[in-house]
Order: sequence, then C-alpha cells, then structure tokens
Amino acid sequence: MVRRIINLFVTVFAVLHLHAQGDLDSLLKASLGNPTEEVLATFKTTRIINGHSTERVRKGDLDFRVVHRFGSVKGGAYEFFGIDQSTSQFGLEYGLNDYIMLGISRATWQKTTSGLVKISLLRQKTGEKSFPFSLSYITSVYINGLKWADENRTHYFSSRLNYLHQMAIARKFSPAFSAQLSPLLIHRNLAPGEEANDIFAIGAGGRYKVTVRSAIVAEYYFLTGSQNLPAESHNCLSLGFDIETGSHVFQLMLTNSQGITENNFIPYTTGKWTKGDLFIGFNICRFFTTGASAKNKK
Amino acid sequence: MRLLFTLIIALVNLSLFSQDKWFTNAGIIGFSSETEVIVIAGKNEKVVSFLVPATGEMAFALRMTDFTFELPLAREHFNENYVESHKFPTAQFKGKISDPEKITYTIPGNYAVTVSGELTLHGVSRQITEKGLITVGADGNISGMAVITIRPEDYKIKVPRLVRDKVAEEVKVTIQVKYEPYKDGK
Repeated sequence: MVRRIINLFVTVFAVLHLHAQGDLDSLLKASLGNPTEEVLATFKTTRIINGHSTERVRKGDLDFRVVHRFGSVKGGAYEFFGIDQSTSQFGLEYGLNDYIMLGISRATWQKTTSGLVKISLLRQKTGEKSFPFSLSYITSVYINGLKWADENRTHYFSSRLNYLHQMAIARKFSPAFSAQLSPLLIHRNLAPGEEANDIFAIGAGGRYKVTVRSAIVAEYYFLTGSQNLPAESHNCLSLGFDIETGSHVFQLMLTNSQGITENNFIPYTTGKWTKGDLFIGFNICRFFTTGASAKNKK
Repeated sequence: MRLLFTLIIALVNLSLFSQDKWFTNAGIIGFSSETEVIVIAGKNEKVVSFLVPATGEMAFALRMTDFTFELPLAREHFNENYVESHKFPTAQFKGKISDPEKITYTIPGNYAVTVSGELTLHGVSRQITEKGLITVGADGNISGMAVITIRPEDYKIKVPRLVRDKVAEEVKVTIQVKYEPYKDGK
C-alpha cells in the first residue's frame, strides 16, 4: 500500500517535472513576446543612386560623402571613357536623432552650396503593431554660386535659390528586395529662359541584394507631362552596384545624367541610354560616430 | 506515520515546482569582439531568464535586434550581415546547474557553480558547459553572472576575408541577471 502511494507520487512528481520544463519553454517565449520593431536597412545609404532613399544617418553619426560623375563614356579611350573629366560633390550629413538628418554640401555644377533636411515620418515595422512601409520627407535648398552673367543689372540673392520637396515611400519586401516611389517638386525662383519655375517628377527605385554586403540598385526619375524644359531633357535612368565594407559604402553607377544635385539631374539629364551617351560615377560614404563619449557615460 | 511523512515530502516538492521560479526580463548580456584593429561591443538589456532552484534549471532567451552598439552602423551590420536576425530572431539557452546541491538558497553568499545545457544561436544548437556564480543576497534575492567565450565560427556566423582582422575569432560574452520571484499569471 505504502509502496503504491510512493509510486503514485513518484509518477506525479515526474509528470510535474516534465510539465515544469515544457512550461519554462513557453514562459520564455511568452516573456520575450512579439514586440514591434522597426525594419532596418531598407537601403544601404541615404541615396538609392542619384536621388534620396528613406534612410537617414543615425543619431550622432556623421556621413562624409564624396560623389563623382565623370564625362560621357562616348569620349572613348581617349577620354578614358569620361573619367578624365569629373564633376563632384562633397557633403557632410549628420543625424540629429534617428529620425531627423541634416546635411550641407558643395557641388561643382553652378558652384552650388546646398542644405538638406530629411525627416522620417513613418517607419516600416514588424511585430505586434506592424506597419507596411516607410515614409520620409526630404527638403533641400540650393544656392547657385556663379557670378551673374550681366553685372550691370540689378540682382537679387533670392534669384540664386532652388528648392526641393520630396516624399519617399519605401518598403522592404524581403531581406534582399526593397522598392521605393518618390514624387518630388523642384521650385526655382529664377528659371532660365522660358523654362518652368516648378518641375514635377516621380522617382522609382529598387535594390536587390546579391550577397549580404553587395546589392544591385536601379533608379528612374520620370518627368511628368510637358514642363517647358529644354528639348534635350530626358528622364533619368541609373543602374548601380553597392558594396559595403564596415564603415564605408561604395556605390558605383552608370547613368544618363551627369548631374548630382536634384535641381540638375531632374531638369537637365541630357544623356540617352539608346545612344550610349552615359556617365560613370560613384558615391563614397564614410561613417563616423560623434556621440560615443556621451553614450559611454550612461 | 510513514505515509504521512511521504505525503509531506511530496507536497513540499510539489509546491517547490509550481511556485519557486525566479525570473527577470531585464537581464544583461554583453559581448565584445576585440582585435588590434577595432573593438566591437554590443549590449542587450532585455534578456529574459528563469531559474528554478529546486531543480537547478536555468533558461535564457533574447532578441538579437535588442543588442545596442556604439559604433555607427554596427547594429545594422550585426543583424543584417552576421547573425541574420531576419532568419534567426532569437538566441536561447536551456540547461541545468550541474551541482545544485552546492547552493543553499536560504543562506546569503556567492556560490560557484557549473551550468551545462544547449545554446542556440544563429539557428545552430550546441551543448556547452560553463562556470558561473550564483549570488544569494542578504534580502534573499538571487542573481547570477558568468563570463563565457563563444566562437562565431561554431555557430556558422560567417566573417568575410575583407573584415577578418576586424572581428575576433573568440568573442567574450558577459552575462548578468538579477532575478525576482516569479508570480504565475503575471
């Protein structure tokens, strides 16, 4: 009788023991939960190729950008496929926090100095409160630094200014594939000749990761309707390859635009893919951190 | 009489199993990869852990995306390129204190113990045995700590040749947990 009871308890004991172990597993899972998380790295950098992506530089990080577009590859071997001629832009971009990025840059075209603000309004999220896409607003002001052609006329500083307003809507469909749509408006206080002051365009871009550290990117900017632009203005199509090494990102591209800033490559893309009138270029991003000492104190 | 005695023992055991779990969801696990070129350190302060004193069972779980870094882009690279969080979002350890009799949970003090069990990281499960310290505080609260070494290669975490000199072959992992009594249905 006693032995039987002991046996019974041993059995109950064993069952409970098993139960407790299984329990621990589910407790662990339950405690970990399914928290909402922002989707990381929809694109490798703040640009897809020429135009902006939804990505920002993170809080306290500084991105030093070196951007080059060479001459037309049509120049052939004599011009080293355009590499003998180069236009460039240097920029510094800083993450005020994880959602607001500020930037300044200087480009050779029109001796342009520009300022930039990118604000992340919505972020794609997974988990309990998932959200399907990211939305960023980008605004820039470009200051034309060229001397006035006719010094005798009265000139206003405001005539030097161009503006960009752009919305970028992106989704990371899978770890490898992301796509973006980005309508934009460029306003020019003073437009040359009969050209329109306001230019509308819609951008479409995507990237496909070939390996964990490299990706193929493509980008197209479509000029909507008739906008009083020079006849040789075309839509801008670019193909590129991203390579990431630690704190650098290299972007190599082939594009029909020599322009780097939006107020150049949107209205004045002159090359044609069908005629092989293309430009080789690259963007180099070098990331630095400025907030480390402050974070260390925590 | 003997029956009653057995019954009491059994009941005491039962109560230990059903109630005496210790828990935290704010455990800290940090890692540091140190090479001559660069030190890459990450920290996760949302580690979930359970300890069952009666059986010596221990369990840990964490989300890879909860690791924070000071280096720019390190979090992105860690998740995207190394541990592939989209495929393997969590890491887990389930095991037991091999010598639970060493610890007297009613007497404050430091107890050196050996814990062995299964660590699952980057989708790879491996049996590990490591030394750790269980501390019973003056207030009766239990905490634990351990410093272990993990080889990324053992868990099929690939380090490309290009950055081979930047990522250590052996990564030091520091574990700190402060348990609280676990209440069912919390």
